[in-house]
Amino acid sequence: MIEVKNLVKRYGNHLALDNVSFTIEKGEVVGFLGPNGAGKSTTMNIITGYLSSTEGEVLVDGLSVLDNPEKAKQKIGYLPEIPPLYTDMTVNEYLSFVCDLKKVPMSQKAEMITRITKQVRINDVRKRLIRNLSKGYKQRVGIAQALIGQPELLILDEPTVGLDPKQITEVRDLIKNLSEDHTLIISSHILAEVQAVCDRVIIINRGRIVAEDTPDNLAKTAVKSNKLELRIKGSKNDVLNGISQLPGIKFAEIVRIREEGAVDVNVETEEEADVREAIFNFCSENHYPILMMKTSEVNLEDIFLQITGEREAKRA
Amino acid sequence: MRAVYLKELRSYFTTPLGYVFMAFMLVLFGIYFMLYGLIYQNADYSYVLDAVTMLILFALPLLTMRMFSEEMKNKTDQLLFTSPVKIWKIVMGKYLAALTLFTLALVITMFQPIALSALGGSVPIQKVAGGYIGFFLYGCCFTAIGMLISSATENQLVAAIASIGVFMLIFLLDGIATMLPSTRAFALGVIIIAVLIVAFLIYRAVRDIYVTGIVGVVGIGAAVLLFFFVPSLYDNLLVNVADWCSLVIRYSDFYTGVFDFSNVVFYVSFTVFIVFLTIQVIEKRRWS
Repeated sequence: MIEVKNLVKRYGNHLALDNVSFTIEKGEVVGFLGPNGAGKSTTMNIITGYLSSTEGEVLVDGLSVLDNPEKAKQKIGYLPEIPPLYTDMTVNEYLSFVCDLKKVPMSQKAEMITRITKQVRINDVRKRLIRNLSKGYKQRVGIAQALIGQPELLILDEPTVGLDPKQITEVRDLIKNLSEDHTLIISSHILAEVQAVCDRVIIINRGRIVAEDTPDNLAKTAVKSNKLELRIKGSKNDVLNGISQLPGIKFAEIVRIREEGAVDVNVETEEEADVREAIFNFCSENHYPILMMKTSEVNLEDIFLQITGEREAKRA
Repeated sequence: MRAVYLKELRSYFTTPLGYVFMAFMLVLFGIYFMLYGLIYQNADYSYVLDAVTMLILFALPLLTMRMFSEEMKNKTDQLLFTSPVKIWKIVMGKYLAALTLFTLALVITMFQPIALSALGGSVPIQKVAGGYIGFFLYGCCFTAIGMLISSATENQLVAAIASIGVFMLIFLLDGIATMLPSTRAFALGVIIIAVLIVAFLIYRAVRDIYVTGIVGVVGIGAAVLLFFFVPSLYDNLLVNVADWCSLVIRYSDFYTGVFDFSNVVFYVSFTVFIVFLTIQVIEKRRWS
């Protein structure tokens, strides 16, 4: 569906994108992840033809956005970071204008607007001025705008940014619905969002792709050391010293004391080492009751920080 | 193009801007009509068309300042330029909408000479009709310049004030030229500076030092050679050039009753050139 080949974008001397390439198959839902200023929006703006790349090319269904802009753009629905709304229009007027802009035939216009406003649930505000709508509604009008013309590919740039928690869930549900019959690219710096809907994650930092995999695989491969959280009843130093000396343990530290007479210890083990039994045996020998033992869950946040952090450390 | 045109036209009337512009035009024409037509009892309406030429330049930025600045500020240009519509069509849609409003105001003022004529005044119809055609072309040019300036900044106020500044400069251009020294050497100096500016702009656009060098050397060389072999060319050169490309002097032909077709060609090609530049400015932004 989309082929991005060796994109380079320079702003003067600043290198915003450095040789970015990836392909996206039909029907895939891809998350674009990265800190602010990593080049997510720039990439999306180039795919949609708003910006031109300094080098490289983008093919949408085999059509170059540069050489064949009208046809390529017709296949893309784009919600930029700031929804491009004319605030002095009503929702109806706005969507009707977008229909004209995207060359929707007159006969299908009314039907299409009705269907889309139902789908994104803005039916009740169709006659209101966009200026007076809440942020969540504005965002959904933005999504409605992207859906007009039935594009196969939807590109949503940070669709939930600046919304309240309830609106975030609503927009996420909407995105999930859309993912059933669209190819989707979503950018975000919130990882849970990407984790929830995406088949594949592309992590981008400082204009380069630093990782690309399914959310699950990323979780498996990226985190090399296992972490355990323990709560053990016993004196602080004895527990810590004893655990630190067990084989397979890289590092142990006391985090805090939550319960009277017990300590919370975080343990990092060497790769592939399962130390849970050893810890149990040590504790039972010394009569330190284990009140809690769990492996820390690895989330994308860790992976993300790890990957982007490592690169930066290497650079430095 | 139609979608953008209709949207622009509607936005002139859903915001106060369109009304303010029309009111400004009508008040302006009304004042001079009152002065010449009613108080001085002069049925020659071309006096009015002459009198408003400068003041109208304060009204036109009202139409043009928001054309692209507002879109860029609100990021709605992302919708326009990612939609399957060619950029020149978007620019033309916007330009024609502004022009429609200008024309509409102009058509309303036509009631004044018509009323004069109906009330028995001897209105010189050909002269006034020519004046209107000239005034329309004059407006086309300045509207295009205002649009060009609007495409260069995302601040509407900056666009408006810069437009007024540039309009004034163009308006006073021939006056300024007559104030400058008329010696041949001074004219040569100005030409050389102009060649250097053009060379610099070329360098900015293509970033090729050789092309820039060739243009600069050839330009300055030609100017200097002409200075020595055809020195008479430099007599009054600046004034002649300023007069030739003055939008104002050419307009005076129209309302004084001279209908020179070359003036029409000049105005139309000037407008086309500025609209073309606007398209280039917008294209260029995608690349930078």
